Amino acid sequence: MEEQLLLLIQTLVVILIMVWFIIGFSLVYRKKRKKQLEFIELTFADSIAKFLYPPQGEEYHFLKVQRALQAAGAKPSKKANIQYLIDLMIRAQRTMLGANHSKLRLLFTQIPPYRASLSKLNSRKWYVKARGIREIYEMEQSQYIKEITKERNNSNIYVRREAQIAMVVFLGWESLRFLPYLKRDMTLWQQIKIVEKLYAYYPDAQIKYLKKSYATQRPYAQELLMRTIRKFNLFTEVDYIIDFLDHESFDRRETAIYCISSFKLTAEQAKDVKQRVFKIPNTEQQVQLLKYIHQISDKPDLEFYNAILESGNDILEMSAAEILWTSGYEELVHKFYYSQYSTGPSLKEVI
Amino acid sequence: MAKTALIIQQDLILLQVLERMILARQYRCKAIRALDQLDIEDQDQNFDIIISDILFDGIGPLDYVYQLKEIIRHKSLLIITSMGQKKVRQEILEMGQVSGFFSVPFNFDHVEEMLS
Amino acid sequence: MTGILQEVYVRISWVFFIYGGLLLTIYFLGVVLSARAVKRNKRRARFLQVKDIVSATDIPSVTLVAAAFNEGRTIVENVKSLLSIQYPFYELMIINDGSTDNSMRLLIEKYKLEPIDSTFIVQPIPTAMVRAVYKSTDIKYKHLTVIDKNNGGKSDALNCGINFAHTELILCTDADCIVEQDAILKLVRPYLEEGDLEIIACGGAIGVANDSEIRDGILKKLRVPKDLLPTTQVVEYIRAFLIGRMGWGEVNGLMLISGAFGMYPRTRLLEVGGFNTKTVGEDLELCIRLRVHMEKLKKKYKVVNVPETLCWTEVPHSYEVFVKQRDRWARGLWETLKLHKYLFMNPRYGKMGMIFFPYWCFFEFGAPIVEFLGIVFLLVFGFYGLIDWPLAILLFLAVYLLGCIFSSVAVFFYILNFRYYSSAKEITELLLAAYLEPFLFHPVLVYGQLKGLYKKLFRIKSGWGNMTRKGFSTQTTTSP
Repeated sequence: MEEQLLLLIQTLVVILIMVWFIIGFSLVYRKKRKKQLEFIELTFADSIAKFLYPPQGEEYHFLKVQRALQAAGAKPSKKANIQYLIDLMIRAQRTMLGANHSKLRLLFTQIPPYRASLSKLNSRKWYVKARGIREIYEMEQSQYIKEITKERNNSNIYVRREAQIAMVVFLGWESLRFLPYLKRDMTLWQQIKIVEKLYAYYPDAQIKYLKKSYATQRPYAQELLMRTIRKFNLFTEVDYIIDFLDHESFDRRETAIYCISSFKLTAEQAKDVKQRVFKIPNTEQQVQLLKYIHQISDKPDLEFYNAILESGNDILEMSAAEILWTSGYEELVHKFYYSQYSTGPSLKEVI
Repeated sequence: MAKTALIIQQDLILLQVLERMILARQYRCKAIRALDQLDIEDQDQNFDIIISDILFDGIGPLDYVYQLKEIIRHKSLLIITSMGQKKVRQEILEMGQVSGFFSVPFNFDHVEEMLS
Repeated sequence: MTGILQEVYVRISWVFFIYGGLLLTIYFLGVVLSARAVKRNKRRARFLQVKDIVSATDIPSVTLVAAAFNEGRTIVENVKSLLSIQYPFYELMIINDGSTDNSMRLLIEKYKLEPIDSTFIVQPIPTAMVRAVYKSTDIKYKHLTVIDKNNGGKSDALNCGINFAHTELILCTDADCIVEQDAILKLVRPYLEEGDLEIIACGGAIGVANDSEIRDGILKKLRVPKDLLPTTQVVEYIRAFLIGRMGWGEVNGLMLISGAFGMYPRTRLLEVGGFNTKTVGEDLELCIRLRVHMEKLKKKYKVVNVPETLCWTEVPHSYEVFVKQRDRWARGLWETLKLHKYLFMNPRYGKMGMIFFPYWCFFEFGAPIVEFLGIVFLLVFGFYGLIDWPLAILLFLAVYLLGCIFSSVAVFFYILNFRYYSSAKEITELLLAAYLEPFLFHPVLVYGQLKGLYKKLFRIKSGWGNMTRKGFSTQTTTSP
């Protein structure tokens, strides 16, 4: 037993010493790496700044950019540096619009790495594949849309998310032909990203594609459509959102209440929304909708608020009373609370 | 005498490109990445233009814009930021004396138009 | 007689051996799981960077609720720091929990606060009386709300904040914590990314900022504390957050999100009635109650821990304060486990009932008791000369080395993934503190825990205890 323990102790000491060495090595490596990456970033920033705004009377040729980057260590032989360079390219391109964006796009087709992202599409590692797709759509290499579309139902969430975003970037509103009918759910971020890309690349709404998608019964798709209506401020489509205000699903109602909050409603729509308040099975959501109704109304609909006051839900009653109070209907609130007191004999005594 | 500009941007790429753009328009330009790189002399200058982000450590966006207006003399102030949501933009512009607000990504040509 | 004693000795030894072996196995699994979780988290973060979130339009709104009680010395600076947190849809709510110092006056003066009409206060969760609600008249502080209320304790103050907030998510913290500028951007990431499961609570790692350089309420330069006690707590926190919580998070077994820094969906908080004001372990209790609530609703859920350090705090610098803190934590644990004892080995609550809750009972609650019994065992059987001391010392040495390896691996994970401590000197100091921990820190820790359990056992009344702090040495500069 003692011998075995001694052997165990020796092994543990060796492991501990190994951990120390790894920690030491990692510290030195990281320091060196950080310096190198900072140098590449500085060179890249300086080069593209000069490329976009050359010093007076000079032309800053793309070869100069290429040479500067290679001198800084962004060579094909150093894969990690090349990957960092690609990240910088994407970062730069995502900062600019207009002429500078076009100039950069042209520059990035002229300097290495060439076709680095396409090779990633064939990788078996999800993070490499997803990265490849992202690089392709960020660098707007639309020629690979076919390969990317195949991945839209990939079992890995990141691969399919990037593929779906790529479809939006390349196909625009037409992508709504596929997106509401995918096999798997979409996360909130996927929805946000899709709507934002659509807005950034195709700011003119094509409602016909939207209308065709309304038939979808997929929860994520319904939320995606509501977010699209909100982002593009499509007033004509508000009824689609209103339909979900009293939906049986908590999440669908949550999205609908969030999305409708940026719209003003017609009298008819407002009436519809008011009726739906009573059908919502969650008090907090009822209160949220109540606040929204108050916000969009010029003056309080007394009949509606009276009905709320009679709803028997304390929180809802208080919220309605608060709205009436702040809108100058103090008397009505007083009347309501006095009538409450008068119903309870013990309270009546207290009064 | 050349016009003067102050650029405060944390993003190095954006900072360098903006600096080159300003220099190309014959300005004298000071480009910094963080507020602690500002010195006493900067506070005595009267910059023709300040181009700044609003996201800095230790100070909220609204407070930052307010302080910038109070402490560094300038003729016009442009905000260029990645936190450029409608709500943020509205709040910043409500404070007044902000000549322009650009959310990233933005068109440099529009910034140049404002300079001229 | 000796024969019986020998028999008892052998049997008890086996019980300790099995308990220790199980604990070591759990630690080992924790290391493996957390390594996987941290690596995956790093890869995922590439696809959802902070820069993407800061510019997004549809992200959830967040209210940071901070409870303050007699924080007059630092309140103005802390609020300024909290106001500077980078998030586009952000509100800050400070709850003055009946302070008897000048906190409220300072806040009113500095932030130009004016009371707003609060005739109707809708309080879904009952709290101590709210005296007034303040908003700033200065446009640059428009995101600040201060609520002045009667004293009701930290949980009561947080509940008040939950009532008044109207955002989708609530981030609960202490007014004296230093929150990283991009903390919310990192904390909402799980809410944005999760598909099938609803995130009911999300916390970030908490770091130790004793003796670090704080300027304008921001951590400018992180330093290893000068004294051994806080330095040991640095390693303890790293181990707890990076290995423990990440490991449990990987199997969706997280039962605790620290009260100093936790984010929750407001609707769920309202559904469960907010924090329990009757326990000093309100963070653990809330997390368990939220889990139970979701189990009852039959909804899929997840509790997430973000490995990055998003919040910095000052840990006890003296043994006296340290014992008080651990005493309180032990009492909180006792109260919570007692409140939810129906979960123990209850298959209706799935893994929570069958694995996670029993783990807390056996190992989190039981460890100090087992350690104490171990010492009694050594003394009693040592007295009767039944202990093979050379073997016992070798066994102790092996366990000690294993502990050192775990701590070293935790420190390695930390420096590998984050950039907080980067010099060889700092790492050496942390490792030395970790290696001294079993001799200087751990006995005091067990003493503190046993003291808390003793108080509960004999119903000795005790509250939060006076947590005197040294206070951060702060500097203020003129902005910008």
